[in-house]
Amino acid sequence: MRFEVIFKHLGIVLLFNAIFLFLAALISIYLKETSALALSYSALICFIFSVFPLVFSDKSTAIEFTEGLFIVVFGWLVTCLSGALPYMMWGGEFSIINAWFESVSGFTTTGSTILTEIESLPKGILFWRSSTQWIGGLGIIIFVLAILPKTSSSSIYNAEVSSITKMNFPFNNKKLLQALILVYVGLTLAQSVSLTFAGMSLYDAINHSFTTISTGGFSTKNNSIAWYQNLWIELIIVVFMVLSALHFGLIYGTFTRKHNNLFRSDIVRALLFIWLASTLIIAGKLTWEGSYSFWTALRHALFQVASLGSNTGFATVDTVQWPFFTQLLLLYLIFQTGMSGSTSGGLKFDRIFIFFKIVQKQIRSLQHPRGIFTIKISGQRIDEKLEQQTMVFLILYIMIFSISSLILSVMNVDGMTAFSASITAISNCGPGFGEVGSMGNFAGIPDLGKFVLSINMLLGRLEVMNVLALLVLRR
Amino acid sequence: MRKLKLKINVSFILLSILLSVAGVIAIYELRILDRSFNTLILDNYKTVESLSQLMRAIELEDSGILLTMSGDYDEGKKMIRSGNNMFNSSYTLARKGIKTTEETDKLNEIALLHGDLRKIWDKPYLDAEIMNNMEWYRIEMHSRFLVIKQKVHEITEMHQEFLYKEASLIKANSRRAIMPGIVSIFASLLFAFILNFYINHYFVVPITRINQELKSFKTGQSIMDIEAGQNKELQELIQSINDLIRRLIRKQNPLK
Repeated sequence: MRFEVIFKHLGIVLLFNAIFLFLAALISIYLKETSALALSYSALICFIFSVFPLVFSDKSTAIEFTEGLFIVVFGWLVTCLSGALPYMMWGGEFSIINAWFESVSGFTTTGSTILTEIESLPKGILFWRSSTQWIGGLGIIIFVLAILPKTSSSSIYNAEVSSITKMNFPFNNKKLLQALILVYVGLTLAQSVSLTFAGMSLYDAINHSFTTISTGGFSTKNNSIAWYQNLWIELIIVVFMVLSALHFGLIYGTFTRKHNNLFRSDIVRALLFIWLASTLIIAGKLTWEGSYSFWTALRHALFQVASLGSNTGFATVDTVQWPFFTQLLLLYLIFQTGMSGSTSGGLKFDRIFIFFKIVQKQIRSLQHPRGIFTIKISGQRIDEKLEQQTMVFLILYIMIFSISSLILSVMNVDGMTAFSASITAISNCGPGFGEVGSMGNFAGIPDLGKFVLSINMLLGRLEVMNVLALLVLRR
Repeated sequence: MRKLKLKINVSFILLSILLSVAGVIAIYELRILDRSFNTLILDNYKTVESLSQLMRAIELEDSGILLTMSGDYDEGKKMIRSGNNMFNSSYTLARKGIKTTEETDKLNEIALLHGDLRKIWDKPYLDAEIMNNMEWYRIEMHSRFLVIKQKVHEITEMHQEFLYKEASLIKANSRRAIMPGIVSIFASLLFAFILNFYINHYFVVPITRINQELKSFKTGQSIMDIEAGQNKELQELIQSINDLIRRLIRKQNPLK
């Protein structure tokens, strides 16, 4: 393994952080905020560590599999560490563990926060906080690959973009990456403009667009989207949250009238059906309980289903006050997450879809013991290896969040908080239920618990298997 | 070899920038800290002292009036005058030291109430009926003193709250002064570690190998065949040594 190649690529990853930290520092300098020095110095550190390896590396060479795996996993770790620097240096509510938690939550697009007073933070820090989600949303590694086409066929891609992402989008790697970036930037711009027209300030519109398209969910307000009390803003955000949870390649295919598009995908149809049904069930339950009138219930249910279903985590209402049944349904939506190839982290709905197909196949095998059955999605046959991978992933995923729930419970965190915090962390969603509800925060979780949850977030973003592959790597 | 020198120089320049900026930030934040300390310790100490003097002045005036009413006219008058002087001087000091508009408003209220008190504190020795009339003292004087004392107490509490906020600010500033130092220590260690790796990888290891190859050449086992990776400077050096070796071999054995 060549460490010089790993250092060089980690340096390129840090360069993106340096650029956004510099922009955040400019905002702070312009507004004469106390965070100006912390942001500027963090930008300088990132810049120095990004250019330093380039001074020594002369030629660019192809990347081997193990190197690719190291770059992906350490890329996330290094970027999360560098992202915590401005928080640590600025201070306020950010202790070292809080800064790490907020940074990991940002880059993994989880959106859980330890902050109790978001609005009192300098605007530069808030911009950096939103930027971490935007950078993380696309995946820094994909970002790097997009500007370094020479590595597009290398193994970094295989580590970062799991086989399931490529399954329903048979473009070549380079084209897929270009499509992802085009859709990502396009959606961010479109949402910023729409939100500004709907009455949001330009600063808030950019910040919320950064965190919607990345399905992150950090807001510049303590009460999230509920602060605006504006139906148009809510509807715009719902549309973009739903889009961000769908396969970006399919969105690109729809706009460019390709064969692979949103309308032809079985997974998209199933996902939208589940969301729509959940919205109606929750709205019905809320109306039945007398919590709201039907239209208000529908408005809140639609927003919360889109927000938690897409793993964004914005809120228009405190769902902790809702009936237990609706909380459980929302918890399931957090668990199933959005589609692969989107910015949603965690399990990915595609695996749930394949899981049910496997169950269906098993039942048919029982009925017809001699029959040979295959699974097809959107007309394409699924490899048996992928079926196995899906099952292993699903079991590992459940094991990890069960273990972390137990660890949190040992620290005297109440059952609902521990369970929902673990699911929301590994699914990269953000809010859970109990103490960590949509209007709550993670400040009350013990420091060790915050660390465990941050590991969950990283495992969710790195799709578990990549980390395990690195842990059992042999020279 | 110029490129090699440049690479090493650039590395040290980057490290110097990292440390220098951390130093400048720490000095800047420490200066803010120093200013905050001065505000907290010197200015606020004076203000706190003036507020407690204000309270003592009011108590002195109260005692003076009681003494006058009990018949000790001269001593009472003396105490009232000295209390009034103390009130004026401590009021001026407190006025200078207070920071917030709420505190200013409260101090204005105290001045007004004290002014009202001054208008009637001569009554006991101007009006014989009031002399020794403790009911009049309780209703007209004592209640007013209590209100003023309450106001002074409130402004003292406000100032304590302000002090707490200032102290929290100092805590935050001290952290801002320390953190760049801590971060740059870790960053420098990491930098040194990576620099050490590069120097080893690009220079020390190939040079060691050249040395080993030269030693083995002496014994006549093999001629130099070393790859220097991407390091152009070392590639040039190996090329030169190989050329020299070939020339030496040709000289020793012209047929080769």
